[in-house]
Amino acid sequence: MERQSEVLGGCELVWASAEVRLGGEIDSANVSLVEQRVLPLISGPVTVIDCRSVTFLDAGGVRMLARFGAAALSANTVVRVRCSPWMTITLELCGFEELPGLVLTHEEPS
Amino acid sequence: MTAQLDGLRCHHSVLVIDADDTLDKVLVPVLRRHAAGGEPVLLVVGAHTERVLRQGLGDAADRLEWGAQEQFYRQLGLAYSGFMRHLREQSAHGRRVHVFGEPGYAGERLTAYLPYEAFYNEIFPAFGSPLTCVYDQRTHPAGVIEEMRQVHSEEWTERGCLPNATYVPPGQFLNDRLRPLAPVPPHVEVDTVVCDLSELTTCRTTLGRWAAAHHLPQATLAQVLVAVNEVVTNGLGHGRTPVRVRAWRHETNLVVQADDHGGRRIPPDAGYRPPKQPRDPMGLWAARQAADILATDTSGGLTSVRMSFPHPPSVS
Repeated sequence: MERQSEVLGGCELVWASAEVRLGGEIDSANVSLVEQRVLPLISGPVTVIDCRSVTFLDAGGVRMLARFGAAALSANTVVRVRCSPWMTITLELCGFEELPGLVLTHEEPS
Repeated sequence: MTAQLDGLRCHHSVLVIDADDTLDKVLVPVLRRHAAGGEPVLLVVGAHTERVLRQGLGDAADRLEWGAQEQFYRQLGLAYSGFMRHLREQSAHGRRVHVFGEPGYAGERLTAYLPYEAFYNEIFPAFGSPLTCVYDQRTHPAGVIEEMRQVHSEEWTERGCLPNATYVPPGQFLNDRLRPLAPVPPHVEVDTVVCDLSELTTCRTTLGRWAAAHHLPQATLAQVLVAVNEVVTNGLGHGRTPVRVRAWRHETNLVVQADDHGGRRIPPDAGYRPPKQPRDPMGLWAARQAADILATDTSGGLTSVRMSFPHPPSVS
């Protein structure tokens, strides 16, 4: 698949086959749009969502990730999410270090 | 007649230290029994209490687990969720641990910790591990110690762990102690408004610059932005615009207040129960975790949320 990109509010989405990259900020202003674009990209045996360049995630973003996990479970696929330190902070504050259906890996702060 | 409970049948108890020998008379015998019976114990107490207990226990002290007070109690909400996480993990492994905690808080932080103490009664019994909190009445105001008794369902005395007659359930306790916020100072360092969701980024940028100017470490700065973002998002979603955001430094704290024009009352217990799944409400929970102190008020047609962040962080 050809590499494509789109800017969704303060968040940049880049995708090619089985790999999705998100960067920038995800909050209530753009979370629905990001979710709407990313959900159909969860396909094939393994999808990697690279969020190492995400510089802000709110609680609504945690819900979005949970729905990615639910989609992965229902499609019987593996979704690996590479979390930026910012995402890890929000996930921890919300109390969801793990989310069903997702394999989360956490980047160390630089 | 009041029944005496043994340590492992207590749920959430308080030990009020009122004399130099209280620890020796009340706590040392309990800890000796735990050590002799091989029952798991975690003590998260201050240096003085640890010294007295170790002296009284002798070699038995080494059979107990000791946690770092400054780590467990570094922020109010994080202390609450930290104990919760620890006991949940123990429960998952079929272990019951008697936890003894001595929060090192004083003044405003101690009174702000009372609601968390109240909610331990509701949340923690599910884990099956008793929690005993230790407070020294000689170093805290009498009124705070009385309130402390109200938020613990049992109290340790020389006669054992007894049901506490002055206990008040958490919902009632929070309702009874609603207080207006102290006035915002006339001169603040940030004063901005947010009218819709598209302005959240600008608000975060403004506050991020302010917090960075105060040399907050990156992780603490992130906590400020997460907390404020959740509160402002709630104001936009559940209240009425505009949401006014003001920030200032007060003594050793950075303080941020968000006021929306909805004038609706935030339930006093909002944000004290952890979300069980991501679809549960969690904005105020996350904000309470990120901020050290979070207080709410509804007056004059405004719904206000004030968050306080230690600066420098972890100073009590």
